[in-house]
Amino acid sequence: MIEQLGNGLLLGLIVAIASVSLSLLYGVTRIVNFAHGEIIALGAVLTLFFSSSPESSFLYLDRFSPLGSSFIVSSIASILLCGVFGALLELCLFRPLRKNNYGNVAVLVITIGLSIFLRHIFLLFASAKPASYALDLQKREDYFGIQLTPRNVQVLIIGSVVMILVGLFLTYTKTGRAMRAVRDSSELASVSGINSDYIITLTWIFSSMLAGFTGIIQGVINNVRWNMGFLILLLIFAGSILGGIGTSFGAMFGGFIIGMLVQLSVGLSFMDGHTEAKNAIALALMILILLIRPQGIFGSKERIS
Amino acid sequence: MTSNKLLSVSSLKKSFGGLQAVNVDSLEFSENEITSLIGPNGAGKTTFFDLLTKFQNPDQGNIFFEGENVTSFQSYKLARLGMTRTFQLTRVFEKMSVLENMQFSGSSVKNESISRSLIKGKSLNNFEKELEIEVDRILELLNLSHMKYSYARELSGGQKKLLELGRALIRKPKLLLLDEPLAGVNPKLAEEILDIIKNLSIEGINIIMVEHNINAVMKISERVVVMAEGKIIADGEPEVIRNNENVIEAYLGKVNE
Amino acid sequence: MKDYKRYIIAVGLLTVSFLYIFTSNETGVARIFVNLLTFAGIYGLAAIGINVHFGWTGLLNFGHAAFMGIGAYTTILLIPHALGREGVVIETGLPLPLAVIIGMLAAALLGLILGLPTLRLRGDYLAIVTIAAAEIFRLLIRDFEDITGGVYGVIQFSGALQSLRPNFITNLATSIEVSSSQLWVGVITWILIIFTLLFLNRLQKSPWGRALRAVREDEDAVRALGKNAVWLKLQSFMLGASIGGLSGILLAFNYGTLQVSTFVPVLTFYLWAALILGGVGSLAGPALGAVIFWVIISGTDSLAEIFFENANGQQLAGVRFVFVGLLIMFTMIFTPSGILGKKEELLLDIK
Repeated sequence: MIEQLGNGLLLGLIVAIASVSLSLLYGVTRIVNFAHGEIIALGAVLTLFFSSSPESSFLYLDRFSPLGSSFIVSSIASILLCGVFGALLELCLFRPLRKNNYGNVAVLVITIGLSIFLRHIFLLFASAKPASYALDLQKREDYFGIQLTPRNVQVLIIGSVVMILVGLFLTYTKTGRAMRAVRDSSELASVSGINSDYIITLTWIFSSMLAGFTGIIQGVINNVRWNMGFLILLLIFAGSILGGIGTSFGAMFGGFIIGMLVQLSVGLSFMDGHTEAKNAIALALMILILLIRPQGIFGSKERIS
Repeated sequence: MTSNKLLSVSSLKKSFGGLQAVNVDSLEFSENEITSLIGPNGAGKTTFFDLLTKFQNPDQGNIFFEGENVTSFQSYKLARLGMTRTFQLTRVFEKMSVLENMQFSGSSVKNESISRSLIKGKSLNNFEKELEIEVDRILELLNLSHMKYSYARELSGGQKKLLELGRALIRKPKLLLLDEPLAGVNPKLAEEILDIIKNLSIEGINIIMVEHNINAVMKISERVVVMAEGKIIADGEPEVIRNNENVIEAYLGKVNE
Repeated sequence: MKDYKRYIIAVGLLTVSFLYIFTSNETGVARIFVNLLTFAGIYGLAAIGINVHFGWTGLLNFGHAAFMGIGAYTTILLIPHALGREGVVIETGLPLPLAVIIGMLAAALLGLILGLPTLRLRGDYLAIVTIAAAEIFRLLIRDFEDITGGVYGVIQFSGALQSLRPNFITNLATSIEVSSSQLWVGVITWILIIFTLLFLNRLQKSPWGRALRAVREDEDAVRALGKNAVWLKLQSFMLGASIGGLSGILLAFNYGTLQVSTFVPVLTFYLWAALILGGVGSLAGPALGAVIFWVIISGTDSLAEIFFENANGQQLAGVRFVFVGLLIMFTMIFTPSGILGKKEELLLDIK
């Protein structure tokens, strides 16, 4: 099980950041966005598209060829585009729905349709085979007893820094505080002069950029697949439920724990040969939490029923 | 007097965040009174109601109904024991007809099982027939007979309030908790509702109501309980309460803040 | 829209679809029809189950594939069958009707397990848990090969159903050149649909159905009136689940083999598309929606050929799902009540 510790840290980090992005979006917009996984995947796919060399053959449509830019530039461009995508989603889809008083059930089903749509667009334009970025292979080295590649360590560091920055942003900046105000009560917020619509759009942008970032590092650590978003979505939900829906810190914490536990469970003996069943652990945990303490570790009771 | 106390609470506390919303040491209700629960806004009246009916869980304390400790009971169980409540904002089933609203409320839980609903035996049919008779009686009382088959959403605000009252009545409650029954209601309808409440009390139903309409309170209450900042600051007959210094200060004090 | 207008539109759409199929295929039209109606019927039955959940009770079940799967696997493994890989043959088993009942009960039991922790809470939780459950179910079936045949599936079980096939069906099938086993499954499916609808119709008008409608609208008011809302929701959940189980069994018999890949989570999304299209809350809506949905899906295959010159299997699947996703979104946005459903159905909020 200890061999999985390195992977566990990585998965934990990824799920943690992704959970924060989803939790923030939910907190402000009250939308359970089933298409969030696809925004994560979008980040990975765009980076792949921008950074792969023009000769690589993973795309089916010969009309589009990858750009071959540097990985860093591609990543940044991809993250920005994810932000744009999030803004577009809000402006063209979710805001009209909101203004027309669509119930949150309808919106939820629409996000499910959206997720199916996007996921299979990826399938069409990307590949059914897992793809990787054009980065050199590295060997695992020993870091205080944990087996990781140097790049993985870089990811851990960058990821943690991003987490801290996000936390600082939410706590100390005007925009961040405004987001939290809208999350806690949108009527109160508008009375204090905060423009809800504006904040919601900002939240979409912010959350989508964070999601895109998550996708990129997931692509770095593992690979890029058309359904990577859907696979991670379950873990994100489990993490958010564990930590407490609607609390950013809780989501981060819960996401991390879920990622760790799920990865570590791969090392358990009865899981031999059943590695995919590790997701079953996540489900079992989720059900357990819902039975014992539905508001999660940090959530508040009033939000859940 | 060791009368059979209908409802009593002891050491009931509830806080939100750092704010103590309810802090009631002891309060009792016995048979056959109309009690009004009044107090300035934010005094904790609705939270107290929620605690009594278990729509919220108390942090501490005990609730007794007819001698039984019901503190840990779920809200629907309490309702079955004979405590029925209405809500501040009317909650009728808009997509169901007036008749169905009433039928649902008056229907026995036993009949609402899949097996009994499928095998519609004689006893079910008889029950439904008698239920409808009772529904007609109550609708008559509330002047809603002409809307019997209309969808609840077609009712006016005042009629919806009456429907909610009717729904509560068909359950033959022992204790009726009315949350602002006169809120947003025109004076004529208010008179009607007050008459109905008076008649209910005569029939033996104990009534506790949260109300802001002081005239109405003074007019029909036999007892007035005043809450401020989560605590009971006065409890007695309407005339006494009216002249109570603490009460006046609580209301005026709030205005001056 | 007045009711009769909707029925006219429904019939119109159906006619257009059938004509389309008719004209685009010179041979084997009957075979296509039987195939389409059988699949559509099975999907329709499954969607009826989801309708009980959502249309009647406001529950969000996105893991119906798990109920279908558990019904199918339980039943099939209880009748004579063979496991795909090893050639393990099990010759004895329970009589089919008994096995079917047990399969449906297994689905209801899964409903109980999933519902108990989640039905006390807000609706989104049920959605999440059911999606996860469907995914887990798929993985577990795949991994426990010794019992379920894993990816190789279960085979040689059709006998239990086909041995009950009356002669006139066989003769009819031969005369119109369709598979007699599929025709038999199709006939049974639609008979079961009719029975289920009659059954549900009776329930809907009963005190139980009335209680469910109240729960759907306002749980708090229901509780204030002394009714156990959670228990009512649980009953409805189990009922819809067992209907799902039944449809899963039929699906297995339709294919003739039982494979894990049949009960993938996307199946549930197909069903939702069919349900929304046909009309949430109406009795026959799901069945209608399923038929129209299947026609549309068959149509997308030809569309795929237009976009991609040499479309391979994967791209076909991709285009198909792209359309499914779009279909779900568009119907939900523009006609949330579907063709036969009631208007304000989907301004509902899960509280």
